[in-house]
Amino acid sequence: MSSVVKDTHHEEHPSGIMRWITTTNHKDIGTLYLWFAMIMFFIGGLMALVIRSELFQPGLQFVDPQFFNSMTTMHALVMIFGVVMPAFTGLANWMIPIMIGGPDMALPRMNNWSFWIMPFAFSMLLSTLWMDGGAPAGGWTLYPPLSLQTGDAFPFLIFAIHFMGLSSIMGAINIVATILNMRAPGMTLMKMPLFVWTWLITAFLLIAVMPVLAGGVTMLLTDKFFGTSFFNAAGGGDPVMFQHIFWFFGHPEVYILILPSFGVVSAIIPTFARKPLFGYSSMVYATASIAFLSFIVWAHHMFTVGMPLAGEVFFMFATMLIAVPTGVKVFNWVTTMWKGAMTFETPMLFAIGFIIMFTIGGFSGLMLAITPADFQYHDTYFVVAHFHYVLVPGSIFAIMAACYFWLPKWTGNMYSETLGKAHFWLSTFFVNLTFFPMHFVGLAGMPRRIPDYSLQFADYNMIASIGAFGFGFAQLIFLYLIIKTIKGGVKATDKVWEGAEGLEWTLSSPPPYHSFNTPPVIK
Amino acid sequence: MNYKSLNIKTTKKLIFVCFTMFLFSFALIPLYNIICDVTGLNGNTSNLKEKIESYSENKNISSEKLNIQFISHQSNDKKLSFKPSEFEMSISPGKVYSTLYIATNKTGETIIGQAVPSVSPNEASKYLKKIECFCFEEQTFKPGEIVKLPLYFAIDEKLPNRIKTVTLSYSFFEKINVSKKTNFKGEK
Repeated sequence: MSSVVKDTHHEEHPSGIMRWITTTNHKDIGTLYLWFAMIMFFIGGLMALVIRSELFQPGLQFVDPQFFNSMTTMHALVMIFGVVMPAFTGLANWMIPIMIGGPDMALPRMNNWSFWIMPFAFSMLLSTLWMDGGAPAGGWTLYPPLSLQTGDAFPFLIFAIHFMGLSSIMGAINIVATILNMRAPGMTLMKMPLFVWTWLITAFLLIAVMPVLAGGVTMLLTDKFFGTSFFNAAGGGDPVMFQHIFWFFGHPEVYILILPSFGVVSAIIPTFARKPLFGYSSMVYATASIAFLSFIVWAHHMFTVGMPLAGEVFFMFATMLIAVPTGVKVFNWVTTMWKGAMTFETPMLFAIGFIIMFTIGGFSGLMLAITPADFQYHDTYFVVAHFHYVLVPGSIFAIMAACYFWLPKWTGNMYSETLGKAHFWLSTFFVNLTFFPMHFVGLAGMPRRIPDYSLQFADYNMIASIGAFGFGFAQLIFLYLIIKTIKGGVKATDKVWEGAEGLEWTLSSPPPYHSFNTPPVIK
Repeated sequence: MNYKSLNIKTTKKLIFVCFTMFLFSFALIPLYNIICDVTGLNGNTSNLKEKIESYSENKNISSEKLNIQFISHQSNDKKLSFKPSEFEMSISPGKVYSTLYIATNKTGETIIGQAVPSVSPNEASKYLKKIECFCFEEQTFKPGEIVKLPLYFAIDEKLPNRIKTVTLSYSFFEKINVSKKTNFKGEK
């Protein structure tokens, strides 16, 4: 009797805005993260469209070069720290407790903090757009001495990065504590879904490198305002030192942006191929190897700074080594699909699109790893094409795949398959129209972060700009589809997908506000 | 709730890792320099130190002393004063020594030229090792400038015993400005 009373009490929560401000529920916080990422995705997307409008044809048309540079810098900061990272943290919040059979995240109050820091950090960052001297325009990599020439925006930029870092670190600590301590009895580490595994490793990467970024930007701050000379050659410092510190953070960071995608794809492919994942343990070891290697390859971002030959050779081979565990993953996914009873619902389409287009990005990454060739590619549009292939049809497609895959579970309603497929095919067509031509202009020598360009690059840039607008408008379908699904639709079953495996599918759709208060039995 | 204390324990450990990594980011600055010094990457080691070390390897320092004399020659126009800072040293073969030559430009013009060494007795020349010498490069002296020219050298311990004194002489030759002072046939 008392337990019944307790259960009904548990389902209650404050209504209205206070529900979201005071919530410590992992599902609410996951939802907040995902909506935050969605809003930032459109803000960052608008910035990308400013860039592509200016580059539609040669010459200076719409914006002045300083503002153009602000747009490239802010687009990167918003998309990396405001979209991909929060979206994955949101997925982790929503899915990890119900995937491992835990009642909630390990540290629910800290969880509330780690989300609510984000809107403040980004208000601060975006407010710099209206400041004297303009928003940061020295590139998201913040290389001194250029970044030290930022106007009033500079301390806002640094403190925004501190806050984003703080939020990510708190989120990561929470995720590690959840995975290590909150698993249902019988849920051993090697029984965990791969999404949980990839997030465990990602969280460790975050804990290891976000403080290094915080340290690096703190040094920039004291160099600018307190007369230190960490990176000031006149005072005995070394500007290249910043690049070393930044990329010691920066390279693990790119794996932070991609490892959870591997987990998402490893959940979706077996579901729609109706076969268990091929090589589960090799997937775990490959993820761990990628994470380890990410710490010893940072200088491949700075081949042209004048490194000794021994350094260039070491970083070239260490970088190429990463292709081995990544190849293991790609082959495992392909083998999982091999002779499977495949169907092609929207999440599966995004997952397959991810595998193909992420691999294209991986190959151009291998090309960039070749030191002598990199001297030609460095700071050209080839680099832009490379990292957009791994981030847009890579990380972003994986996030979208995850949204389609779990949306019926979250909302209890099926989404419209027609709209979903339209979204996928339009996105895939336009993303390639945008980024594929960038390989060609890059190899031909068009530099990145430049508002104007030589006439011979005009045609490909026009194609890329058309693609960017197409891709941008296609995302409105995604937004409409999500709102429509939340509002109603065909009721989803608990299992949702025929081939679905895992604890989250044993809960009702939508799951109760508090789930697994008594641990499930793991077979 | 048994996992509550576990969670606090895990959190403390992870926060400790965070602080360590924050401090590590500052430690990276001396670390990079130490690593570059140790491995010799990025040209951080002094070239001279390395050369002296590589010469001194597998060399026995002879107990017998030897005299070395320094002399200098320059052209008669007295534009340049060029002389050793010390005229004689007593040295042990096999050990690296350093000395200075001092040059003073007495004119109002820039003098460009090079010092050419010569060793007496001739037999000793192949045992004299110049590790670093101003004579390796062309020198430029601005008007009125006084320049210290360093020389690092050693005499091999295999030098025959009968040689007790070695004389090292430098002659400074001014570079002739071909285009200005002489025509093609060498006439003034």
